[in-house]
Amino acid sequence: MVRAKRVLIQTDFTVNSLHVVMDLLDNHIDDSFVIILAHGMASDNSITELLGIHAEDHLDSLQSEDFIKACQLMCSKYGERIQDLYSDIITSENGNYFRNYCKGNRIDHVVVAENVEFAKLTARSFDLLHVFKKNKSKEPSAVYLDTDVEIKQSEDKIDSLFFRKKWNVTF
Amino acid sequence: MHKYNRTLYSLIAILVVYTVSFVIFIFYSISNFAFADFYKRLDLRRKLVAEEMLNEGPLDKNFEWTYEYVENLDKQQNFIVEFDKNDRIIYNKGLAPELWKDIDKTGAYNFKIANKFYSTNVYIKDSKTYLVGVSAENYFYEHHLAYLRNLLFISVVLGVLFVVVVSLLVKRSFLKPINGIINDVEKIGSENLFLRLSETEDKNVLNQLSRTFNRMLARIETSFETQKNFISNASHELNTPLTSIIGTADLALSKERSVEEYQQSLTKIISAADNLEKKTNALLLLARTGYENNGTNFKPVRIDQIIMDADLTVKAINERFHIKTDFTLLPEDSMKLKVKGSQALLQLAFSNLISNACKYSTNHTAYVALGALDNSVIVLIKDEGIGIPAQDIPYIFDPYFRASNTGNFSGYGIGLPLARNIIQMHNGKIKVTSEVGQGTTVRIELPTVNVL
Repeated sequence: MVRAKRVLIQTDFTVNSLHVVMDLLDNHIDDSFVIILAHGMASDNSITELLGIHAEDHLDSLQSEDFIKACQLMCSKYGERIQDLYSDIITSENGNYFRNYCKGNRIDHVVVAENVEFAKLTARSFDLLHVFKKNKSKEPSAVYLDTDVEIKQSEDKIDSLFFRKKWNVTF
Repeated sequence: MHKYNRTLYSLIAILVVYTVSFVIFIFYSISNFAFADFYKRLDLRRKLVAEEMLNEGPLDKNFEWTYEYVENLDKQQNFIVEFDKNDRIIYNKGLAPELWKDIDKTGAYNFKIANKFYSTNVYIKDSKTYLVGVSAENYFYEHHLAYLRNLLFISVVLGVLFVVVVSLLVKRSFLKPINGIINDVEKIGSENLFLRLSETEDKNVLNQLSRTFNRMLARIETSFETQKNFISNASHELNTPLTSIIGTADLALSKERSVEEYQQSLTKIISAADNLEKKTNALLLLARTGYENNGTNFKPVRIDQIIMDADLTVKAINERFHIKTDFTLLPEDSMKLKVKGSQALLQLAFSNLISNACKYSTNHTAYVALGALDNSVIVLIKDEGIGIPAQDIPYIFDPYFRASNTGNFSGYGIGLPLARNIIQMHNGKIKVTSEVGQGTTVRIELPTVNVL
């Protein structure tokens, strides 16, 4: 069995951001993936955050019910092609930190979605792709995707994943 | 309720008895300790007094007690008595004579008279027998213990008050949601069976009770409404083709006509009779589903199959209706689409929702999509029709309610409440979002077989 590719996709925890995941899987139909949906959010360096607040706490507050359901929908749809899909928080804009994170998580590729503009989810959010581009090294490599911007303008609900541009009409 | 009160009062009584016993135990222990400790301190001073006496000649007239070794106790007095073999006093310094007969003359002895504590012992020096003793008042016993007693008494009173008040508040907070449910349930009658108890996302027992009540109400309402409306629906629906049949026949028989005219009339009558038959069958289906709603006959059914059947039903009812289905997000594993339910009821619900979507759109097109989550399936029915005004959305599930902008469309306001009841019967959720002029989206989530 071919090893699943481990890819990092920037997310702002909106259902719309998952179009990138769908585009990736639709464009690489022969590959299976371990997908890490990462969000850049700088740590405030307080002792409270260092000792008491973990990535899971941030994820609990940032992930909406529809976002989690949309992830489940994706896993059901793509079955074994998504070997794992999980969210994570990257807490520093430091280039070495990002490289080590990718190394530690054995990230093969970082998905760079064209046409998708970064929007700050919280005051401490930062653009991960900017950090990636600024600190380019051999690994991980970039995968460029031409995503559907038109769909992204719609309301951020699980509904937006349906009726995409090229959906099959059965009647 | 009486039993509940009795349990609560028993609990309060137990807490009060426990608190009082605890306080008494503390007071008794500290008093005991105060006595024992004070006698020890008295004994020590008596030994020092005896030491001094034995070394310095007790009968010397110039003899003075010195207190330089330990702190003096409150109102401490030392005394020495020399006595003979018959316990007669030979010399007494400091002892009240009336106490002499009560003192043990053989060894160490502690006693208490009123507030005064005594420690005595017998010493022999130079063949003479002396009784040396110390008396003092226990300041701690006198003042601190009284203070402690008052403190404990006030604590007990406040503690009991606290226990009673907190218990009653807790009782009230426990009973409040139950009373709320009772009040809500009392408001529900046959005329407003569409009312529901309020539910939250919590998994507490009361919320489960409300949810169970609501499910039961949904079953009762569906059954009640289908039966109640059957006659009125039937008479209304059947009346139109019957009027057409009678009218055509009357017209045909009003005078002599040609064979072609009679044939034309009979064709019209057959067409109206066909229409009548279709409606009779639909009404019979509606009536029958009303009785099949107790959930005991639920079997695993595939939701994609139901949707395709519902699509065919809707297209069969009205040829102008178009349904566009998005199955692009169907799961790889078809087991994830299996729902435990009634095929006929679910088909009825979906065909109602899809035909509504077609009916209220100018292009008569409904968009249907299906996907699977971890423990449920999600169905979206979307249209680009007239939409529902925001102020009407809270009432769309009420029977007979029709949105304010539906004047040009026929309907009775039965389909949506029926669909909601069927979805709720299957432990599902239905949510409608709409924008006037843009269209409406109905989102349905039904739990799959593995979690039911």
